Amino acid sequence: MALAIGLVVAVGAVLGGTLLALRGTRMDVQEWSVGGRRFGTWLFWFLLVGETFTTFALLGASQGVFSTGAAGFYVLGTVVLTASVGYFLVPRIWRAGKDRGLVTMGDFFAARFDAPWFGAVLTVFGVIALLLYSRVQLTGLALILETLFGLDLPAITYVAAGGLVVALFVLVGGMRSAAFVAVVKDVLLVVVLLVVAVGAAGAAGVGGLGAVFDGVRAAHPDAATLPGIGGGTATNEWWWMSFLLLTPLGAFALPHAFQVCFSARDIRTIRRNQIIQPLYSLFYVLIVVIAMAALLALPDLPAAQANGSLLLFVREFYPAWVVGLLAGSGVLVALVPTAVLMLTSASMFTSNVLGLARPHLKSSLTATRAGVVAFTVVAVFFTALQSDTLLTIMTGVYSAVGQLAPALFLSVLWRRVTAVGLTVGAVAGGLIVAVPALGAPAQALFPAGTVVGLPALVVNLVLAVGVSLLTAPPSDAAVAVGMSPAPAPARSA
Amino acid sequence: MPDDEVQRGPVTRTPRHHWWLLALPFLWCIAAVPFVNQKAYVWGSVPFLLVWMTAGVLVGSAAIGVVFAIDSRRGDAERV
Repeated sequence: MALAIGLVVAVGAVLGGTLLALRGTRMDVQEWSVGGRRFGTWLFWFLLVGETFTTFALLGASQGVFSTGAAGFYVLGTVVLTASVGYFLVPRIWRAGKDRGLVTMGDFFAARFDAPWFGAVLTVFGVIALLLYSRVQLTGLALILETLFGLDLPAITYVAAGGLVVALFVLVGGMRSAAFVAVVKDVLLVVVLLVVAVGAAGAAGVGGLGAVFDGVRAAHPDAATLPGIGGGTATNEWWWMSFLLLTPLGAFALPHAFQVCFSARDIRTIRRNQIIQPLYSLFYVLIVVIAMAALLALPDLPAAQANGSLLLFVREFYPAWVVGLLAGSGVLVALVPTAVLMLTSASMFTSNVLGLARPHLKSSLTATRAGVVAFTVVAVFFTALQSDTLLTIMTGVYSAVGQLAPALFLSVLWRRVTAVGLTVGAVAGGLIVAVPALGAPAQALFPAGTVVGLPALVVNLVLAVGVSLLTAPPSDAAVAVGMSPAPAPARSA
Repeated sequence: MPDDEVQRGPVTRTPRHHWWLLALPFLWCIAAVPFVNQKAYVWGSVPFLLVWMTAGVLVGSAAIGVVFAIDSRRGDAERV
């Protein structure tokens, strides 16, 4: 029963969305990868929300609360912080894309610095960040398939099955069908979360919402404040502040978020979205409540299974139709963002790396589709090889992608910044994040708990600025890609 | 070249001091947290940090809304 409902929901939405999206549209690279730059407020909103409200929001946020209590509340800050940065930043990116027909993040940086090699370098960085990020999504997708459909198969089967579904979905529909399915999935998810939240107190065997909070307080007195349940430096105030600072800086440096920025119809659409989007993130409150009820209902769940706490809670304590509905929408929640991740990785790799070596392949839809398959396979192996809590993976993703933030922000704020400076900074920052032998001494300079991405970002920024001052600035025409014309000729050479 | 180059020229760059409101979420959700974290519960057993962060979403969205309203009234909503 649960299996049937889940399948009907997921397959129905995917087929319906794809057919609707394909109706009367001729596919080319622009259409396929940025939806022809025609998305109005609603479609753009759903697509952006789709990128925000992902498997991580559903499973990672609940895991955070389930494992630590208070530390998990950080998710409430992510969207509103990102939105206030987006209000300033996204219109600049969009304008550059609109004026010059840019499709990818690599296109933007190649044009801004008149340096295709720099576009290629940042593309490689970006693809690595996206593959890290797709681990979050695929881990979640596999977990949903495994927990809710309950077939007794090795874990890699579920990851591989998830990857297969993602690849097929992207190959057929592209960005447009992702946006259409995003609409279905967001509506469904809200409905399911409301249903689960309303039943949460009953499922946990207590008398109401107040009793859930009372119960958690009695069982885990340290859950309400940082560092949370049994917490140490890994989830203290410094972790909170450094992670939440990195999140909005890194959010638009994630190449898929960058690419989604291009799909809006106009700047007004983008700005209005930054008001509405945080409101949507209020649904995190439902997830927190559900996770707290799960904490009461599943006191003996091993820490290693915390990623699936919300799913297990629903499977054990809810009727089959709720399980099926959650399974179906859960699959979509993972599918749409992962599809966008793969689409972005492939289109930017084709356009900015492959296109540099083989110009005739630059806008090849076939090469991009081959890229989708290749990156999906890599992501599946990446996911199957390691297992971490979702919150840990996510902290790593933002530490890594935060290293692209100087390139992004300086290119719209500082005329003098150079591609060489940004490359030196990003490589140094990336090494500090990736190599523990470098990361540990950098972290030691900051209060314990600070996410490694922050000291790395400081080093990155200092090097980017320093080296930029020593290298030749880009041409005025290139600078104009990211910035308005200079107000006065007072520019030092 | 784009047809609306006029809008983007240096002449129209009136200062947008109200954009400082966009920093409010950073103060609320990040800078204030060490102080907020001193208090554990409100209304019985509801974690205060949870209430604070939920309020932060509303306050932040409102701040962005005010910025957008001011920009719109000045005819500046399309200006990058």
